[in-house]
Amino acid sequence: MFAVAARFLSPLFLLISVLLLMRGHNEPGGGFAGGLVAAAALAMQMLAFGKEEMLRALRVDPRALAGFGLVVSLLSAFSSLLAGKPFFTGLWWVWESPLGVAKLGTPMLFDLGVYFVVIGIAVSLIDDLEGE
Amino acid sequence: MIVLSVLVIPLSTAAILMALWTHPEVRRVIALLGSVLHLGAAGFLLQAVVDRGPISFAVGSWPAPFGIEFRADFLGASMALVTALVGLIINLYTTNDLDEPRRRFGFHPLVFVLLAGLSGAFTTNDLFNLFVWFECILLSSFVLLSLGGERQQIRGGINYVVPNLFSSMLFLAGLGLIYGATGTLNMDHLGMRTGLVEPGLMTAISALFLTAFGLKAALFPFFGWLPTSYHTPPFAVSALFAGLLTKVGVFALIRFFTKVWPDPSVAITGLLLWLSMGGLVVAGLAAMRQTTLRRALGYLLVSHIGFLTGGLALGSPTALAMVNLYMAHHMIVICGLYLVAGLIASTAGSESLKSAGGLVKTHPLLAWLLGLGFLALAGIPPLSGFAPKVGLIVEAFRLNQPVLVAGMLLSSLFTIFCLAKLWMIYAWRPQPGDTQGSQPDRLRILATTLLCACMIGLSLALGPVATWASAAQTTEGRP
Repeated sequence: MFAVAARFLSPLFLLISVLLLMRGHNEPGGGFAGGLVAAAALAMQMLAFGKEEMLRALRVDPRALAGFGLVVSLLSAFSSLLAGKPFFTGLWWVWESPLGVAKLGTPMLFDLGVYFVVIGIAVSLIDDLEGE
Repeated sequence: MIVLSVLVIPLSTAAILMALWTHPEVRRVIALLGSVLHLGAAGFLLQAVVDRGPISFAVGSWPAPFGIEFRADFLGASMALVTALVGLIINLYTTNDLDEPRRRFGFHPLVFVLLAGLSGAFTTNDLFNLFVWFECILLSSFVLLSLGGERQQIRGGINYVVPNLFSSMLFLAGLGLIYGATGTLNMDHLGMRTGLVEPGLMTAISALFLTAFGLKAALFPFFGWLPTSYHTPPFAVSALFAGLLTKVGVFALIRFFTKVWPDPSVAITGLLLWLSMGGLVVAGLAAMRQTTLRRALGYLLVSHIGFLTGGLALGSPTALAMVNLYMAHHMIVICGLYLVAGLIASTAGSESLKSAGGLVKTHPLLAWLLGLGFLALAGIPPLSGFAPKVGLIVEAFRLNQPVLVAGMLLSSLFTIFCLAKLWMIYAWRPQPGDTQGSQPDRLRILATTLLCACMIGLSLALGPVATWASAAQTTEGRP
């Protein structure tokens, strides 16, 4: 029963986690909350199908994923140097179209890095606590 | 940007090392490379500070006091340089000699997080940001201390983490109070406003900070956690902690009582004076009857913290310049001695004094290194410990603080006695029986020798360094 529920709920959780990540700059949410929800989806995989299945679903080593997230976050900090602005200054690109205004900025990249760090750390914690 | 480079380089290295989690062989090279870059950046920073005076940097273009400001002065930049140097030596020391599980479970990324935390603490100009770096240091050092999971390591880890977490709590409480009283957290900005706060309130708040930083600095009577935890992890970790961690506590004390509250009340300086005196004498006495070199060094380290905090209690520019010198000297020397102790333990096969002896005949190089370290730690001229020690004693004499003079002299006496005893055991006593030790790895010997060479280097360069440190004390401070 749980396995059936997990099969449907995990993708939904992942979807919500991305939603949380995207709305996080001005509204509640962000990389940390989104990452936790994504990790919850993976934890559900583990409870339903076992640890191997969770690690397989992640496809990469969780610790390496955390490191990758850190690198992504740092890239967002470094990108301001390329634009000739002081370190960590946020850069924004704004597109105005008939449908509305779209903004994309380096703080988004930072949040994305946090998202990966949280998933990586949470999954590796679950991995260690599960033993073997 | 150069201010932040000393912090960003180790942080990026840690991130890259984490990302390469599944490639331990590549990590080894990247760790060394990152360390060399870190040292280079720290050297440039110090050069720039000597040439141009303190350098400020507002992160993310948010100006102080609203954003977080980093500001490197001579004290901070010199500490950052020694941190980078010790980091490089530790990385070299552990390049080949580190057991496989520790390497696999992230020893090197943790070392870099620790180095980033230290560099951040040495360069930040924001009191809350300092707290963040302290947490960064505490978490990484706790894992480093207990990584490996041996029984005594876990016990040492608990001794270490409980007081340190308590200290973080006090720090945070103090931050809340000082923000409530002044409405700012930028250190220079605080310096302008703390004078306007009622002195009694300021004394109470700073007592919180004194306890919080004193715990980290192993100030008397809060030093119990240090000698009961520093002898448990591998030698490289002990050396890293002994060299750098307590000094960051002292550094925070200096920042607080020179920058945040530039003229502390007599109650606080008097308290600091007596606590320094207590540490100098009590820990010095305890050092003389320890059963391993590492434990003895732990107590001597605590005793010598008294020189630093005593100098801070004196508060004159000369005393502060001498504290700066003594701190740099002590970081290098104590770290070097822990590394030598590690080499000796692996040649003898055991750490206990019972299996020690005959070093002069069997391993003359180690005997030289040990002797050099002992002389430097005891402050024998012409090595680097002598001038700042004498400078502090003379300054205490000039400012009419006989208690501190007595404490410093007694501590020096105990140190010399303790080291002479250890020297006789290690070097002159015939080797007891056959030992099961092995020849230590070449890179470890190279790393230790390099650090000992740096002791001599610092001794030779002491003149100019002292001039810069004194100049920094008299000219610093923002108009």
